[in-house]
Amino acid sequence: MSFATPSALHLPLSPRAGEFYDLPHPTRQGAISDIAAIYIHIPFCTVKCHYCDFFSVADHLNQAPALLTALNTELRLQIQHFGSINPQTIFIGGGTPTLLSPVLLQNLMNMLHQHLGLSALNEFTIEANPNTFDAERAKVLQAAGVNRISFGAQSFVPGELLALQRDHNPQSVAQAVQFARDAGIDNINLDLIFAIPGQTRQSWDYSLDQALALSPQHLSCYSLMYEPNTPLTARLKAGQIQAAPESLEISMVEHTHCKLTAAGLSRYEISNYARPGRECRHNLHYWHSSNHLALGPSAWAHHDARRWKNVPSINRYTAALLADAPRVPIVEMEHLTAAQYAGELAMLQLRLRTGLHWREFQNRTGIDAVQKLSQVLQKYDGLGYLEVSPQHLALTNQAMIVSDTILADVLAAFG
Amino acid sequence: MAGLAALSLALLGKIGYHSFGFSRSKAVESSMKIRNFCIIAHIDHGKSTLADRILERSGAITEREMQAQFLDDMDLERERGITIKASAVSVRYQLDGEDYMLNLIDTPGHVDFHYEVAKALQACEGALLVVDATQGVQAQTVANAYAAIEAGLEIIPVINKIDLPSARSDEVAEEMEQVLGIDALSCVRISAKSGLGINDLFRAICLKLPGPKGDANLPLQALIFDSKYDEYRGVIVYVRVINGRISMGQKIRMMGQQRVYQITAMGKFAPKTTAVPALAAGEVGFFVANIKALGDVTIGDTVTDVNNPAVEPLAGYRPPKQMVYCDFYPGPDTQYTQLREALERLRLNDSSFTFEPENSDALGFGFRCGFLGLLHMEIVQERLEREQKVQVVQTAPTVPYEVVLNDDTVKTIDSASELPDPSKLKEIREPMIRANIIIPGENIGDISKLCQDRRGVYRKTEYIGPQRVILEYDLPLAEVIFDFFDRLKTATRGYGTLDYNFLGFKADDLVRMDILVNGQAIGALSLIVHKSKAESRGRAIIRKLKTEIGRHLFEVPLQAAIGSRVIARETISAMRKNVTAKCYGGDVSRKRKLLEKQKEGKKRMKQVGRVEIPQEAFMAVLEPGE
Ligand SMILES: Nc1nc2c(ncn2[C@@H]2O[C@H](COP(=O)(O)OP(=O)(O)OP(=O)(O)O)[C@@H](O)[C@H]2O)c(=O)[nH]1
Ligand code: SF4
Ligand SMILES: [Mg+2]
Repeated sequence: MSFATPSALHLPLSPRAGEFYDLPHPTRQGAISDIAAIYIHIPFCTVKCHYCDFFSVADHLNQAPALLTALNTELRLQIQHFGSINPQTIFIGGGTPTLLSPVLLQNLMNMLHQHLGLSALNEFTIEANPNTFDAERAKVLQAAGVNRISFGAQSFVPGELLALQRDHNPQSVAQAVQFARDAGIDNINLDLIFAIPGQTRQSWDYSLDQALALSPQHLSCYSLMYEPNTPLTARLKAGQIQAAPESLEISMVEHTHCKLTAAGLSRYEISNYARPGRECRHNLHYWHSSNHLALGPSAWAHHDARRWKNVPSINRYTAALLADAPRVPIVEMEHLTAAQYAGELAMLQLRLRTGLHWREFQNRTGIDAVQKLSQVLQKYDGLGYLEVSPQHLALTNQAMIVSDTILADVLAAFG
Repeated sequence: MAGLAALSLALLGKIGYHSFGFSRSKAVESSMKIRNFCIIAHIDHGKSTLADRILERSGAITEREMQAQFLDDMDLERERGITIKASAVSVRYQLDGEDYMLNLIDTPGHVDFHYEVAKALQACEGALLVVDATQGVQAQTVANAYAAIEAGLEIIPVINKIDLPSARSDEVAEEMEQVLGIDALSCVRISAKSGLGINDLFRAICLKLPGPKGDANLPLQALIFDSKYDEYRGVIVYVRVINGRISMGQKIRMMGQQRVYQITAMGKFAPKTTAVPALAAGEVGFFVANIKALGDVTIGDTVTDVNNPAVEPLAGYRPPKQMVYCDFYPGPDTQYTQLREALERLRLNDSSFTFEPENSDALGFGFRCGFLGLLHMEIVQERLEREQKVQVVQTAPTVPYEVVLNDDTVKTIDSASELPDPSKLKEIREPMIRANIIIPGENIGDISKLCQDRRGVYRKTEYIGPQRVILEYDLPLAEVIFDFFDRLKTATRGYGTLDYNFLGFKADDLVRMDILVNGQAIGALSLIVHKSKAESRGRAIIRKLKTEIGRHLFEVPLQAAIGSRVIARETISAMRKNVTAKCYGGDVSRKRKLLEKQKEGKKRMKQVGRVEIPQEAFMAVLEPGE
């Protein structure tokens, strides 16, 4: 890369060569060079939820055909660069990918089939919002090999959905799940949010009950985050809503853990619960820092200690890829140092209940984590936060709710 | 105002020293008249700017070379806009067909650096006493003027900044007459910025200031008035030759240190370094003589010839006293030995601070350091971090105390942790100062109250013109280094100024207060306080600590105690939730950067038991009580 960091803000609409970073060349430095996973970002939504800070836009569905064409080009360029790609997992997220019409969805599927090797594929997930999902889409997806659907249920209480400005009603979730099952897609995740303003322990318990009644294989339970520059945060700052009290939130975390464990879903990551064997393999690739490519505006990829991001703009993304000399519009590019890479790997693996395995860690990073973390281990010794064995290190359930504090120490230890 | 010099504070070693590209020049022709003078004033009254004009108008530097405050060549000086080190420079000037060699020394105005002024005064026959026409006579104007008078210098009063619309030159001239006994009519009015009146000033310098009186034929007596460490040449010694001649290759003896050296290089600053073969009586310059450490040179010592020695050394100076102490500990990325080496290297450039190894339970191995004042302390810390690239965790500054034991032996201690067991103690004495505070008349009430609150003893009030007064108070130094100056500035909307000199040690009702974090007393936070103030200080410190120390995964109790009696307590509640709910492919980078930022914060923390204490917390002792 010969250029100074391009700032996303100062890029003109039609980029000229050199204004974006080049795709990095595989180095095999400290990482597995195979591309394990592919993420595809579809940045359209019906309305913008008030807490959302993903890159997605409402009312721009007319740009979808152009976007798909651009995606097709991006995929082609990536393959030209990295050679053939045989991912183990594909994840289509957003946004709301199921907002695409069945025809466009079919186009997207065709494109993936055309370019990717799918012999190694063992998990193919798409995100869906309950009210954008139907039998027809389910059929298209199933036929293309999609075997997992992640629904944004968030809550089963209408008032809470309203507080979040979600545009679906609770009943639509069950129906959407049914469409998926009827089409033969039986690996279902539901996203849920707790610590919503106005939510009580009882109402959270009710949402959990409703979710469990649908027998999902996987539940993601996120505490509501007040991200900067979202309407929700603005309302919080303006005093129009009140954040859930800390003690309530903590009791919700504990309750979630007890209840879901009892229901046969175990917590394998800070916010994720699954039936045995139904952990999200795609996300596990993230938490193990596997190489993954990411297509679409604003998507972040990771390959051999490089992390890069596409431009977070539909116009600029399509302009770059539909130009005469098309380019992957990369606007951020990080080359991680060995220490950064190790710290990041520890930070990610420690989100998982399985934690970090000393030997594997050393093999991948060349760094002896036992020695690096000796002071951290000493600091937390006897407090019940760390699970340490000769093989591994993991955060206990109790530690997960304060994981940022602990992970900051861990990261600092790698220098 | 005797004793001002004793309190005065300084950084040895700089004195404007530009390139070492020696250009040859002939020795000063004997026909040339010499004027040695320094520029003294209150802070910011325009000394360095006046020096600029003198350099420029005399043709010593061209307009192209000119940059504002030319002699302030340390990064820190330029950034802060203040002079820290005195700078000596020689320029030539022609007046009425006569050649003059003007040797001038620009001095710092800040109270911490009085010592720099004191050194400069000894090397001169005259002083330009600069007063800002909008500010009038201020505390350091008075202090420096008296010091110059005491040193027997001829003073040229200069009223500066007359270009400003708010200049009140006549009143200021009156003030100078009233307070300093200087004839109001003799004031030279100038604008150092625009150059207005500079020619009159040159005329006054040439005609009013006496030439040096020494005799070049007597045995050599040269006063060492400063020194600087140069990486390549070792110590550069700044001298004012009083009698005799000093020349290249000469074998010299420092009369105080009784060391012998041979001169290997010498020159002047004009303002570029210019080599000269010799310096004769009356001249100012520098020499290099294979001297390895600044400590080998005593400022104020007399240089003489080994073979033809002078009978007596010159009067010299009293060395400056360290009046403020604090600990420096290595930050997380710095080793103890690195810090020690950094201190040793910096001391080569500034011999006016001291350091001794210190070992604290909480903070490990570090150094107890002594400084001339708070600004000096701040500057040393900044220079360590910036020039020596070490990280420093600093504790709150304290003053030295004298303790009298039961057997009447007197011991000086510079930290509360050195305090002997109370049963062995007869009394504790604290350093006292005499403060001269110049303020608008309307603030007398507020400032008197401030002084009283700080256990001050009133001495007298003097009027400067109809609107301003000088208040004189005797105060414990500990009360002055602690937030006094800020309060003075606030109460007087910036108009109040302060100067002080050291009086001696005085016994009072002083006790040791300990601060406990998570049950562990932190030696570096212990302090000696007046009994009447212990409780409110204790509460304020604890409250401050509570805001500085972050939440941990457990409760952290904070206590202030005198002996075993707890006089204040607070608890930092435990961190119960701190988690990022989502961390997927697109979040990793942001998340890592967030944690990395926290990591940067940790660098300035000290681990005490299980508690992480940020550096700022060690300054909590400075929090004022209610
Ligand atoms: N208007 C005006 N400003 C001046 C004049 N002389 C100096 N100043 C300004 O006053 C400020 C202080 O000037 P310096 O020359 O740094 O003062 P100083 O006395 O050397 O200050 P210290 O070394 O810190 O004691 C600067 O901003 C100068 O530009 C003048 O004649 N007129
Ligand atoms: S549906 Fe998802 S991506 Fe779209 S606005 Fe809502 S939270 Fe954001
Ligand atoms: Mg100055």
